[in-house]
Amino acid sequence: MRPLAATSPVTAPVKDPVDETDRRPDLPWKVIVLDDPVNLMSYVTYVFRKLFGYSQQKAHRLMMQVHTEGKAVVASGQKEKAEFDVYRLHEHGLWAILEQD
Amino acid sequence: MPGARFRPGPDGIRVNLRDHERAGLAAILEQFRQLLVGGKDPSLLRFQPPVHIHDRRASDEFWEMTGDSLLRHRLEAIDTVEAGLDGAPLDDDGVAAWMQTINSVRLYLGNTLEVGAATFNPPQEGEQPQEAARYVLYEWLGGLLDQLVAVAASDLPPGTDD
Repeated sequence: MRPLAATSPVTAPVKDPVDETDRRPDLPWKVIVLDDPVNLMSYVTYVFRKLFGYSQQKAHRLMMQVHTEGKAVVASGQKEKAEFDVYRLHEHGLWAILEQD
Repeated sequence: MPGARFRPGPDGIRVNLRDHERAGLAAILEQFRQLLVGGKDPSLLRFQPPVHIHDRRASDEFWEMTGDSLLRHRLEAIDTVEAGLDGAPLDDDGVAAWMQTINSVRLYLGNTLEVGAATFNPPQEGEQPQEAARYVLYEWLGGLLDQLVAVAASDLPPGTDD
């Protein structure tokens, strides 16, 4: 991921009155894949195997959870790693989101 | 397998498209490249959906940081596919570029055709010729991607259940 543009205006920091991210910095982040009517089931299973090193059985189980329940947690961890996973999933065309525990 | 468009080989996966398929895919890729570069088609929103469902600002920040990188990657993948249309064997990066590009075009077509709508019915050639042609392409790309996945999956390590 590239950093934020260096040309962003510099302003005095303003404390957000309600910032969930700041209040719970140590809780892990979940990487969740949402169901999509276009992506092939075989392709989604392949992507889970390739990106996360899952077995065929686990990848297939997660794919079926996405398909039948609408979503599945496919990974979790620190925010930076979770964001990277989300980026890679979008790179492959899957719709991934982040949620903090 | 007769008619297989992808075959495993000693130096990578071989692409075996027919002449008209190669020409058609090249034309589609050029159109898709222009679409991505233009960035104005509303169906492209599928490529940058919300990633923080309850925090629009955080989603916007995520795409501000990553959007350009992802677009550049998609354009490079299109270049890679175009370079491989002549049948040169695909290494791992080539396989990834082919899969991601085919899938991206399918995502775009699927969204414009609204295949996920509860009322969706495949468009008929006589009634909606343009939509029907796009749907034929959408289905063909699906078959192509499925074949490539089947061949490439055999090269993945066994993986873990953890």
